[in-house]
Amino acid sequence: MDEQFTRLSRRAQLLGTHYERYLITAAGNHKELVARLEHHSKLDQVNLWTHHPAHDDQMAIVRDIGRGESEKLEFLATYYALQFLQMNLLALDRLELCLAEGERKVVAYRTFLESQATNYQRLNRAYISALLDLFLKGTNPPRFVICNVGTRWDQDDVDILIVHAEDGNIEALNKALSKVITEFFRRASRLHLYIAERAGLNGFSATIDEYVTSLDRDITDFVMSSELLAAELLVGNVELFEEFRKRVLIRFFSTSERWRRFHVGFLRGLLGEMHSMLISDIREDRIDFKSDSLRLAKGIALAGRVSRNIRNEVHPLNVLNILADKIPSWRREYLAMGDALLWVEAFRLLYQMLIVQEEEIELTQSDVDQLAPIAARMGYTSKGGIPASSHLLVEYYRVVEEVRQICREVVENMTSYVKEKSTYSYLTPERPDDGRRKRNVAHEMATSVNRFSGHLFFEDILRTLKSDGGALAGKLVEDTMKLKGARRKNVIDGYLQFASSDPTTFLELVLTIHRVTGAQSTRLFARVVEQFLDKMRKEDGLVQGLLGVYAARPEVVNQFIEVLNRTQRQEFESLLDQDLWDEEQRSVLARLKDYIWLRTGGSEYYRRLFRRVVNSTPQFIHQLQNVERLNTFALGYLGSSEKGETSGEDRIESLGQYYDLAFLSCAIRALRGEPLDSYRIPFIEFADNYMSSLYSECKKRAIEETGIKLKTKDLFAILAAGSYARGQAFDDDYDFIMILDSNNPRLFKLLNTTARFMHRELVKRGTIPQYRYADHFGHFVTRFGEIEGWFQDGHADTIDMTQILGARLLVGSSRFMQRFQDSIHDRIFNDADNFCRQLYQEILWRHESMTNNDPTQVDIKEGRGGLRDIEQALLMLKAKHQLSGPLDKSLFDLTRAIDTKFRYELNVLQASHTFLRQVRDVYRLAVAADDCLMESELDLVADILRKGSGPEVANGKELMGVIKLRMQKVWETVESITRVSCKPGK
Amino acid sequence: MSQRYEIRLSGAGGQGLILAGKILAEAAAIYENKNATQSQSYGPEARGGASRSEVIISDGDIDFPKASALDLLLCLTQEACDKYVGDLKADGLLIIDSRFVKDIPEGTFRITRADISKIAEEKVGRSVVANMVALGVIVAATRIVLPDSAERAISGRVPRGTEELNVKAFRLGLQAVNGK
Repeated sequence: MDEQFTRLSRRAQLLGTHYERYLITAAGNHKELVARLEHHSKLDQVNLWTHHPAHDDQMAIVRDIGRGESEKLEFLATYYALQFLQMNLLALDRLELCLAEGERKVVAYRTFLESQATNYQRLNRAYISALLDLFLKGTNPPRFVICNVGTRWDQDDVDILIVHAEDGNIEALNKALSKVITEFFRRASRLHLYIAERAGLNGFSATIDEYVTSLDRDITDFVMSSELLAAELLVGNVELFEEFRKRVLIRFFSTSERWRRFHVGFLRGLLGEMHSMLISDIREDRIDFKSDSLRLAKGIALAGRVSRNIRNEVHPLNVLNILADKIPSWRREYLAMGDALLWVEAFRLLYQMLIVQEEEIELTQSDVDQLAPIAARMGYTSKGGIPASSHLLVEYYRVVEEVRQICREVVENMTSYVKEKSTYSYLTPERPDDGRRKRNVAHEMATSVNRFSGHLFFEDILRTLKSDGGALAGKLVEDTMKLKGARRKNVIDGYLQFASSDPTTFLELVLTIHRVTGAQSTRLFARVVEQFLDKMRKEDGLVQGLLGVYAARPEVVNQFIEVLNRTQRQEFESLLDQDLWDEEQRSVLARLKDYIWLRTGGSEYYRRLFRRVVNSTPQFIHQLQNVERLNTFALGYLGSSEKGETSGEDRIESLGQYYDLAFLSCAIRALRGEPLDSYRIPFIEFADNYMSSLYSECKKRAIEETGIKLKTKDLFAILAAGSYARGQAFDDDYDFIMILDSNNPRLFKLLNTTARFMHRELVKRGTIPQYRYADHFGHFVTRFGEIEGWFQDGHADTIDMTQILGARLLVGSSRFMQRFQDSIHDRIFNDADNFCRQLYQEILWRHESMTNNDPTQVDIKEGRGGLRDIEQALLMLKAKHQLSGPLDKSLFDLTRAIDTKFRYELNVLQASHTFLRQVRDVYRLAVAADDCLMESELDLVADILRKGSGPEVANGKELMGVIKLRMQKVWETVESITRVSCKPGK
Repeated sequence: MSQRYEIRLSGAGGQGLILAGKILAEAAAIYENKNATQSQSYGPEARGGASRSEVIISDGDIDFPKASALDLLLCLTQEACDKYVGDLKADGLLIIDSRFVKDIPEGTFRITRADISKIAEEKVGRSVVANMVALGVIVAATRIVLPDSAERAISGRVPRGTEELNVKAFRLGLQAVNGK
C-alpha cells in the first residue's frame, strides 16, 4: 500500500501546491485505514487507489469502521483526499486522451468540465452527507436542503445555501452544520454561505419565508439573487427544495405580472453589473478570468434565462444551448458564447489545478512561462517559433473579445426589453397617458435607485431621457425641484449613488440634466456637481471609477468637462490629483490631466478647434499625446477623401477631418515648444493639400450644379497670398488670389461657383478666407485682364503690389504662374525703386498709426520691428533683384547669395523672423488670437518656450524684454537695408 | 433675416473696425453655423480718413463676396457717413455715433443713433473699446447674431482676464439700443 501511495504522491506533483494538504491528510492515515478495512474484510468494497463514483456507499463503510468520532472523521477525510486527488488526475488523463484522439478542442473541454463537475459534486455530496449523518445522529433535525449555488468545480471555496423547514430541532441542525463547515474546511474546502451573510440570518440556514422576506427587503443584491437562481440540490429533502424553488425563484422570471417589478429590478442589477464591466477595458498587465469574460458570459446566460423563463436549468453552458434553440435569430451568438465560456472555464480550471487557485494571472514573463503546461493540456503546441503559451494567450484574448462583443450586442438588445417591461414604461412617449404621468418621476426613480446596492442598469431610462425632445428630462428636473428639503436631497442622493457604482451613468445623467434649458436645470446641475465634487473629496474610489470611464468612453468625460464652469473644472482637476498605487491607473490619470490641459488650456482660438476635433472624433482623444499618430489618422482621412467610390459629401467631410486633425497635431507640437519648422512646415503642407483637394471636390460639385463642363486647362490658378503665402501657420484666415485668364462667361461662372463652395467649407473649418481683388472687382475669381488693367491704370497701391509679389501657387500650372509673373511682376520690377520707396513710406505710416504708449504691450506683427517689417524689407530686396518665389527660407538664402552686402542683415532678419513667428504662434494658441502681446499674459508662453526650443527666460516679463530687444534690432536692420535700397525719387 | 445680409463698418483708421468685422463674421460662421465673408481695407485707404470693414452673412451660399447694397452701415465718423451712405439700401439701417456724425443725408433708410464713443469713454473708461460698443449696438438693432455668439467670438480674440472689459463694452452697446 505504501507503493500505491508513493505512486499517487509522485503523480500528484504535477498538480498545484495547494494539493499538498490532501497528500498530508492521506499520508497520515491511509495505512491505518487500509488496516482497518482489512480487519473488517471490507478492503475490496472501498476504492482507495482508483477513482470510483460510489462515494456514498464507500464513505458509509469508511465512517462505520472508525472507532469514535475523531477516528471516523480522520478516515472520512483520508478517503476524501485520496478520491479527490485521483479524480483530478483522471480528469487530466481523459482530457489528454480526448485531444490525442483528435477530438475538437471545444468538445474535449466540455467533456473534461462536465465530468469534473459531476465527480466533484458527487464527492462533496457524499462527504457532507456522511458528516451530517455523524453529527445529526440522535437528534431530530428539521427537513433541510443544502444547495450548491456557485461554480461546480474545485476552486478555493464551495458556495452553498441552506434551507430548513420548521418541523424539527433547528438548533441541533445548526450545531451539526457548524461542525460540518469546520470539518469540511479542514479537510476539503471552504463552504461559503454568502446568502446567510447578506441576508443577516441568525444561523447557517433559513426558512423559505425568511429568504422571501430578505428578497423583499433588498430587491437586488444581485449577487444574492444570482446565487439563488443557481441553486442546485446537493444534499437534503427534495420536496423542500422544490417548494423553495417555487416560492423564492418565481419572482425572477418574466411570466408573472405580480412579480414584474422584481423581474425588472433583478435584470437592472444584472445588466448594470455587465454594463459597468463592458465600460472598462480589460487590463493589459494581467488576466482576470471573472472580470474579463466569465461574469459577462454567465450574466448573458442568466439574463436570457429569466427573460425566457428557463426555470429548471441552472448551468450557464446548458442555458446558452437552450437559448440558441429558443431564439433562432441569436443562435450563432449564443452558441459562440457557449464555446467561449467552455474555453475560458477550461483554461481557468486547468490553471487552478496545475498552478495555483487564483482568479488572476499576472502577465510577467515568468508567469507567462508557467502557462506552458496549461497550453499543452489544452492542446496547443509551439509553432512557427512561437511558443504554445503565446498561442494560448492569443486565443484567450480573441475569446474574451468575442464574449465582450456578443455581450454588447445582447445588452443592447435587452435594453428595449427592459424598457418594455419597466415600471417606468408609462413615461415613454409611445405609451398613452393613463394618468400616471402626474406622478413625481424624480421621487419614484430615486426611491428605486436608493434601494439598489451595486450597479444598476439605467440605459433604457437614459435613452428615454435623451429622446422625445427632452420632455422626460425636463419633467425629471421639474419634479426634482418641486420636492423640498429631505425629499429633494433623497433624489439628488439617488443621482449621486451612480457616481460610486456606475460613473458612466452618473455622467450621462448629469449631462442630460444640463441639456434641459431653463433656470431650474441650471440650479439643479450646479447642485449635483457641487455634491459630486464633495463626494470626490470624501470618498475613496471615485477617481478610479472616473478613470475607467475616461479609458473606455473618453467622449463622455470630454462632454462633462465641457459643461463645467471654470471654478468647477479647476476644483475637479485638483481633486484628480491623487497618488494612485496602480501603475495602469496612474498612466490613465496622467493622460486625463494632460487631456484636460489640452482641452481647457490655451486660447479660445485653439480650444475651438480642439473641441471640434474631440466632439466629432472622440476616438482620437487617447491619441492626443502622440502627435505622430494624430498625423497618421489625418492622412488616413485624406486617403478616404480620395476614394472614388464614396460620395462627394463624404469625401469633403473626410477632407475636413483631415484638416482638423492635421491642424491639431501641429498646434500640439507648437504648444509643446517644438522648434518653428517642426510644426510650420507640416502646417503649410497640410493646408496646401487641403486647399488643392478641396478645389477638386468643389469643382465637381460646381459642375453638377451649373451643368458647365469646361476644362480650365492652364487658364485658372489659385494663389496663396498674405501670410499664408509666406508660410505662416495658425493665422486668422487664408488669403487667396483666384485668377482666370479667360473672358468665357461660363468658365467664369463655373469657377466662381467652385470658389463659393470652397468658401463654405473653409468657414466650417473656423476660418473666413479673404479674396484679394474681390474688394475691387466683386467676385471670388478675378479675371487676368482685370488685374492687368488695375495695374496698368495705376489703381494698384502698394498693398496690391505686395500681395502679388508675395503670392504662391496652390492650384494651377507653373506656366500660368510664369505668365502671370511676367505680366504683373515686371510692372513692379521695372519700377523697383519706386516700389521700394512706396513700401518704405507704407512702413512708416503703419508705425505712425500704431503708436503704442503702453510699455507692457507690443504688436508683434504690425509694430516697429515686427514681422510685417521683416517681410516688407524682404519684398524690397525681392523687387530690387527681380526674384521670384514666395517669402520663405529659400528667398532668404537666394538673396543672401546674390546680395552679399546684406548677408549680416539677412541673417539677423531670418533669425528674428523665426523667433518672432514662434512667439506669435505660441501666444496665439496659448493665450489669444491677437498679435498685440500683453506682458501679463506671457508667463505661459515663456514657460512653453523654455521647456521646448525657445529662449531661457524665467517669466513673461523677461520674455517681453527679449522680444522688444529683438524688434529693436530688426528695425535697425530694416532701416539699414532701406537706406541702401530706397534711392530718393527723381 | 434675408438670405444675404450685407454690413459695412466704417470710421477712421485705428478704430478697431477690422477686428469688429472679424468678430461679427466669426460669431455668425463659427458659433451659429451660418456662412460669412469678411473683408477690410488696407494700405493708404486705411491710413487716416475713412476706413471700412465689410461682412456678409447668409444662411445659404454667398455668390458674391463684395458688399454693394448694404443692409446695414455703421458710421463712426462724419467722413465715413458722407462717403458710404449712398451704398445703403433704401430700407437699410444706418447706425451712427451721435457724437461725431451730425449731418445725415436724406434717404428712406432707418437710423439708429447711439453714444458709442461716449459709452466707451465714460462707462467703460477706455475709448479703445468703442468698436465693442458698436458691435453691441449692431447686434441689438439687427439680431443678426445672438448676443451669446458675439460674446464667444469676442472671448476668442482676447486674452483670458481681459474678456470682461470687452464683453462689458459689448453689453453696454446692447443696452444702449434695448434700453430705449
